[in-house]
Amino acid sequence: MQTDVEQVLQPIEAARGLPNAYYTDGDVHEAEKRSVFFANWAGLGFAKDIANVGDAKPYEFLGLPLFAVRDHDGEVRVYQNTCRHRGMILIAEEIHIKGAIRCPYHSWCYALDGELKATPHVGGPGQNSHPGFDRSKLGLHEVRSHVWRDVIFINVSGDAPAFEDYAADIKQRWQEFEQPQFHAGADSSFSLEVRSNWKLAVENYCESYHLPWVHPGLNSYSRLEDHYNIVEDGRFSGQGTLVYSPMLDDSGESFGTFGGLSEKWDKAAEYLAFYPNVLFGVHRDHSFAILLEPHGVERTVERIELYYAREDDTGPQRAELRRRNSELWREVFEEDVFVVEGMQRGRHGMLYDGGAFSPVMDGPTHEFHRWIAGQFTGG
Amino acid sequence: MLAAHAVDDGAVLSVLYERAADLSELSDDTERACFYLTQAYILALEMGLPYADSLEKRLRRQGRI
Ligand code: FES
Ligand SMILES: [Fe+2]
Repeated sequence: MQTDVEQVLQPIEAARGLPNAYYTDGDVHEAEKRSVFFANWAGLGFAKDIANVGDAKPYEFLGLPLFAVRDHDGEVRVYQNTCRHRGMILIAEEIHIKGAIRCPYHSWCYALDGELKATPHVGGPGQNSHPGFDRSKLGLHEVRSHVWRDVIFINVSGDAPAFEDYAADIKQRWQEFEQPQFHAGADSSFSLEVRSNWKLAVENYCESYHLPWVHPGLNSYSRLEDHYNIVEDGRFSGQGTLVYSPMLDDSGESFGTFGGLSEKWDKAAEYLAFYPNVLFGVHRDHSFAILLEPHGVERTVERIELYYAREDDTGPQRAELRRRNSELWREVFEEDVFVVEGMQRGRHGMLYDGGAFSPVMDGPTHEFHRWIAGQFTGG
Repeated sequence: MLAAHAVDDGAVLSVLYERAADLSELSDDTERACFYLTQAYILALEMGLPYADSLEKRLRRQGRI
């Protein structure tokens, strides 16, 4: 695979894209699990889904059973969802934990901070301790986690740089958006399932080259020349527009805007893929996050959540405008499904060599490929 | 007690187990009492009921934790 990776690392004019195997081969997918998803900070879920202390939600993260819970300090914690006794799954569905996490098998109980609190009958009936048994060493296995822009990021390997460093460049770029944002519930949440490797969803998201063809509706107000590439060698890439115009309701009112934004954001909006699997968009009045969940090599679930700048825009009086905004984004993302799935099918063409890039338009995709290749070569 | 298991109400169940423990203590059956106390304690812990503490203390007094 070394030579394949070398072709990816060439300057864009000479480069080829990632070879087919990266999209179709189970072995590569398995390797990618460790090198790309476990070794870095990957998106797992959304903090809004566990809003209250004791709220817990299970996840299957590339086959790894995990759950997230909000602890007594109000912090999100992520644990392996496996009991330290016989390995039973602890949390099977979204649940509110009132006191302790009780394993459904032999009822060992864990506190929200992971401590093993009680082990009923472990020393025989009615005897809850045993001299040869040390509870204190049997807490839940915790996975490193960090919440940013409501996304719960995890680093399974435990040895990635601190999140603040990992995300330093993208945070720097979007510093002005480091402020509260508000989710309005079900009308601001939807998901799509695509028969494609997750990387094709990233690649399609971060380029604007396809806009005039795949999203002709956007053409009327957002022309190709109004878009710019964002490539900074900072674990992200994407595109921006110079002509964002907010959605208006019947009386010509728009959503409220984030405070203190510089003039640039009057008209600009940006869309960044934050590697590996989270796609973000920011506008002066709302933002969104898309989590890409790989379910095998050739299937991906996209979870889309929209957030508003002003808390009062999450109320019922704005429900109609929010519905229209969600609908607009759903249409755009649905328009992308056939190309993402089509590229997946195309990658079963044995003669495809990863493809040639437009030296001008494909920078963000090339950057992503370089990053992926780097994860496999330790670069 | 089986009925309470069936309705899946941990708080009710916990109280019933504690009652059973009391009765076993009255008939000097410490083993049985500690079994029931354990059941009551675990359920109270799960439900976050404050009286889990007093159940824990009872078990500790018996050297069962
Ligand atoms: S497997 Fe969890 S208590 Fe036995
Ligand atoms: Fe698109």
